[in-house]
Amino acid sequence: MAKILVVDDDPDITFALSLFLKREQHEVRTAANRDEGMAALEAFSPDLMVLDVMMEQPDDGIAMAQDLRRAGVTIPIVMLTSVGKVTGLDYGRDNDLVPVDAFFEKPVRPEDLLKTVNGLLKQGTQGDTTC
Amino acid sequence: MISPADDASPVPRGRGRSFVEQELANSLGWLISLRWVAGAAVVLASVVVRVALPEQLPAAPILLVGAGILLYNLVLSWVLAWLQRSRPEATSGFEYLVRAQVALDWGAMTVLVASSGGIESPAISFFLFHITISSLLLPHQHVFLYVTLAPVLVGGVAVLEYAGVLPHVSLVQAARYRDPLYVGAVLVFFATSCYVMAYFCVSIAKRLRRREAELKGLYDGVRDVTSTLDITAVLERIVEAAARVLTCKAAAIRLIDQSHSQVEFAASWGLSDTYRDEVPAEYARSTLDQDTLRSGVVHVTDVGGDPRVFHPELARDERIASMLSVVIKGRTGPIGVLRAYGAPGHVFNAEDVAYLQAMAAHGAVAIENAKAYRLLADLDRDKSKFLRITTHELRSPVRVTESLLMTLAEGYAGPLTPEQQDVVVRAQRRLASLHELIDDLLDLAAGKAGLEQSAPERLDLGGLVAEIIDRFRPVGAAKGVALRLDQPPEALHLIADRRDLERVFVNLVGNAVKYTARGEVRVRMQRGDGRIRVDVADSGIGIPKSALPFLFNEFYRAANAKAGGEPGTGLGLAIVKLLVVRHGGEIAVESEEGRGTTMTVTWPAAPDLAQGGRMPDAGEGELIPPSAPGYDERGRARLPAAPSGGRAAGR
Repeated sequence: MAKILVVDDDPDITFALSLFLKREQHEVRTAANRDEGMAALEAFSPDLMVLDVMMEQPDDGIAMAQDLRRAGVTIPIVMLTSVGKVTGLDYGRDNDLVPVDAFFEKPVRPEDLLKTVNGLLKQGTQGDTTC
Repeated sequence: MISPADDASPVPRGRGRSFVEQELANSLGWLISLRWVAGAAVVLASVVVRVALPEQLPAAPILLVGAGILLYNLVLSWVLAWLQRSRPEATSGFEYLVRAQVALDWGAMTVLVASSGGIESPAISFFLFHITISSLLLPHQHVFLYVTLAPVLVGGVAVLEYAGVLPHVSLVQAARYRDPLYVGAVLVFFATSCYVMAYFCVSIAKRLRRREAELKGLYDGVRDVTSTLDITAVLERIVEAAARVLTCKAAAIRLIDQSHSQVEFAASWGLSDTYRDEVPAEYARSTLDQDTLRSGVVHVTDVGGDPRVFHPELARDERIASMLSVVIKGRTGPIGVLRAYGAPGHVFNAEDVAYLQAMAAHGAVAIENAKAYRLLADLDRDKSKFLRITTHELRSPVRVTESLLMTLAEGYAGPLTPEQQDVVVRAQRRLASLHELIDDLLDLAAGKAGLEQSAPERLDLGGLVAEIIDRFRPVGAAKGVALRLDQPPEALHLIADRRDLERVFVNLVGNAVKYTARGEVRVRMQRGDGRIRVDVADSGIGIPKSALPFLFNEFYRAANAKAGGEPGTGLGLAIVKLLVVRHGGEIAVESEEGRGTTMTVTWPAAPDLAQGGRMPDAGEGELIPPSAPGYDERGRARLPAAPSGGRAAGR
């Protein structure tokens, strides 16, 4: 059981993700844009964040991830994308540019995302001695 | 009248030898040939003198002069040959050689004059002939310097003989070398002839050089306009060429905007920034530009007294006394002004007008080209943006719906009855086809538009293909199709984008498996002649002969492929071909209906391993046991899932 923040401007995605993340007994909070996401991050202090690449701006998600890392936020970030190649960014390889822990190309297969989320949470717990 | 401006180098040097320089080198050769004759003639003359005029003239000095001429001519011919052979681009070498020749000839002729009667010698007319040659060959400002030497040398001989320092030899009976009137008159006439002759020759040479500079400026203009779209560079070259050819102080191009409200400097040569900044940019205030646009040509002869000049004091500070403006005409009307600025004393003539107009025509073409190019670039950018947006807008809802259906299918919204499960699976299948169609379509569009960023790297093709074959093994096994891979023991490397290659082989192997009911799909890799060849052969339904020519066309599917009921978009092979060709490869197909198909792709091997490549062992590939799970239900039906969750970055 962990606190997970899902930031995506597509309500169907946040709906679907909430559905299966809650089934796995996670506490889920959703946000529809960058500002809401930042606010929720403060108020909710999640253990993990799922973040969409494209929201109001084509690279909102990336900019947000970069900001968070610069601000010292270390929680795992899983990034969702519905564009593989055409943006010109090779997400899988440009690690420094996009400081996240895992990428998921939509459609999101629940089983796979849960596996990744649980794996990242487990790593985090192991590394964090205060828990 | 020719303007007194500097004309030492009317065209920039350094781009090959110019017409005049070539002419210079040729003339040097011609002069040397002529000197052989002259030297021999002098030697012959000494013999004639010895036989016919033993009393009047001493033959020995004349013989010595002749021998001297032949001797230094020999040296000069060596130097010329050396210059032409080893330093054909060094024009200064040729110029020094011209000066050396003229100086040596001047010296030889002075000695000849002194030994053939001094001021009475008929040989002094040789100087005139020589002035013709040297005024064509020497830089113009040097010509008059050299010309001054001629009367000085002849006068010097006359004075020394008059004073008794040099012995006088008398060619005529009544010796006049001590008659001051005679000596003075001969010297004055001689000097006048020298200067007049030099002036005529220099005038002709100047006109020739100007013509050459004009031609060169026009030629360079044409070349620039056709070879570059850098409008600023072209316009700057045009104004520089105009100023140099017209030998005036400065030149500039001012362009007017579409609304005819602003007219601004687009390029200038020889103008200070202050002047450029201060000249009004409002078209309404610039009477000179308005007049030029209206009448085509405006010649301001007196900047201070012409009311059309907005800042006469500014022009005076800039040392501008006259201006010549011509209109630059575009396809739809005037687009600007080309203007030449003259320093005090500079006079523009009709030839200058014609030349400026020719340059303005070049400028117009360059500007129109650049405008057209900019328009195309804008369109291209719009198209790219459209594609990017479409990509997102089309893919997004499909993928979100797929995500929702997966959540439903996997029971996260509660358990489903078998009938509900069936409905969801059908919907997922149709959605997967749509997903595939959109991806193919956009990949193709983006690929054709050059939008995709290719990241070529050195790839081990064997490893890559083996991985793809592994992905398809479960699919093949489910329908009883074995997949085999024959590859040589050494690694086959090529330079390509990994994802492009993956896409090629996912398509080729995927098609082979898809259209083969049973039997095998065999991938064979070989290397030879610096190329890598991959055959993907199947024992499937084959392709009708009539369909082969259209196989790589977009949206084309052979009739038997459609009839088979396998889903497909008809875009896969079009994309494969695009990607293969992009990486310098070729693709060919061989097929017999009912027997099977072989697709053959060849690529250049990575360079350093291409040498010494050998044909592979036709070793046996492994046989795949037909036992594996069935189709992957998610997303892409033709692309079985990678072992751990699709594209999740395993880290």
